[in-house]
Amino acid sequence: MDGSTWGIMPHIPEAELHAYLDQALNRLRCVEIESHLADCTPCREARDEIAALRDRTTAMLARLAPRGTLAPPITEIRRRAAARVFQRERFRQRAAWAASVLVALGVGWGGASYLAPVSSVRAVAPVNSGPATSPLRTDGGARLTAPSQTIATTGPEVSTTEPPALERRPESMSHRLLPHHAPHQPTSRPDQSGPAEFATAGGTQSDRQAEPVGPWRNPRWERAPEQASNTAARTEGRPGADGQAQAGDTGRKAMMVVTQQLKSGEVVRTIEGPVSDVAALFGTRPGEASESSASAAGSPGEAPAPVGSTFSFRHGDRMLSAPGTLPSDSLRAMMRRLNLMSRVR
Amino acid sequence: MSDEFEALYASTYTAVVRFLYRKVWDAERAEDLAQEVFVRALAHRPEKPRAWLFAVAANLARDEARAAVRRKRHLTLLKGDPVAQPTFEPSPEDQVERDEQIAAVQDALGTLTPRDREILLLWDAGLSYPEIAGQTGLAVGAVGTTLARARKRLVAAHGRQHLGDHAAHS
Repeated sequence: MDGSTWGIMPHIPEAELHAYLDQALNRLRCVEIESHLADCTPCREARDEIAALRDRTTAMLARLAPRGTLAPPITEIRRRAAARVFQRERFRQRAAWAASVLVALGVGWGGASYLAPVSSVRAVAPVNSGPATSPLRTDGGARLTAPSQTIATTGPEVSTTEPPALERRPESMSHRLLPHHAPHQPTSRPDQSGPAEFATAGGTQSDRQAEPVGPWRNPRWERAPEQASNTAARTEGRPGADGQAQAGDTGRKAMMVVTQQLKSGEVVRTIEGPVSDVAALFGTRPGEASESSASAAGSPGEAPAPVGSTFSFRHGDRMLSAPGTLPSDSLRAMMRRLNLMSRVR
Repeated sequence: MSDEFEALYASTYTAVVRFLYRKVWDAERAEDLAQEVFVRALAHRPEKPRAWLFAVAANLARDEARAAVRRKRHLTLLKGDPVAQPTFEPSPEDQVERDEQIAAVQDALGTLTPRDREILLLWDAGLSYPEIAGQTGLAVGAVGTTLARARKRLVAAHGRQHLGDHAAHS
């Protein structure tokens, strides 16, 4: 029987017979197909061929199956899933932590960039604009006067309207006695006609030209002697925290400022240089220093003489001063060093 | 959900392994990937888990196929796999015959177009026409047509393999 003689329903398409055998048709369509198959021999033969093809295909594919497949316990799958969720959660937490650190760094950097210019201006501005008798506080609490030279401190807490104050902060060593001169600024040295040049221990001349005048940004004791003198006065046995040198005229040795911290935590600074410069820095008249240097017992050098709370030594045209209180052994060591210097000269 | 997943796992695990094995041709790897599929199913909780399982399995198998190392192992396993894990020890003659039959089916399957092969394997894995259509993008009505073509081509290719083997032996 063919479609033309059957009349009502043509032969069933091949694809539909596949779907019929695969049970992919709805019940109504299945009834229609089964009714047709009951009266249509060619469609029955086609169905049988497709069924055989389907079975053969299934049998062929069945050969391509691993043998002895056994599902692991469901608990194992659950355990792995739980571990996967835990790892994902931990990754999220770490990512959030890293992101917060990056944000904090970014905010800090931005804030520092925003505030940095203000800090430098505040630190530089007041140095040479103070009154002639600016009271300076030393570590020992002594008040010094600096009529002509200036002493600057680093740190933004220095007020622009107040005289520069050197406060004691031994734990951080952030305050430093700094003869403040710009490289191109003339100094007030009485015995010097030309401009004086300050050499900081941390950088080259070009670096110093680029830096703003005022704070000593990167002082390193290791290079300080190169700038001034290997015989710079200092407290023996203690590392130098800062070293700063002022270059002298041709043939003259520099004025050297050394900042150190004692075991007790106190910050000690020693200044050695031409008498006029050192005396001017501490408001000491050369005459006073020379008067106090007369009683050096058995020594070619001079005896310590307190000027206020500042100890000063003088030998010839050189003078060593140490504001504040120094240990006695340090005083003796300084005297020996000064005597040695005098012999060398 | 827990009981449903357990039932799905018990009824589908073997089918997923078989489906994957016919793509990666490595029994151990197929089992590893099948377990990975169910682990992901537990984490994602899909709405239509059965179709989702085979979709993920197909993706994992595709990723495997992209690896060059995977291909090398594939070539090695073509010679020695399912026989390498028999549940009993066949005789050497049976072993050779079985290897030849498996290789012939593999070669015949390889002659199909990727789409025909994919639909044939999905059907053999137990997916319904609508599920196959949803996964492959075909219309539901086109699934039967594609399956009919794939079955005929597979059997024809396998027949040619047999004819070639007989001609070679004679």
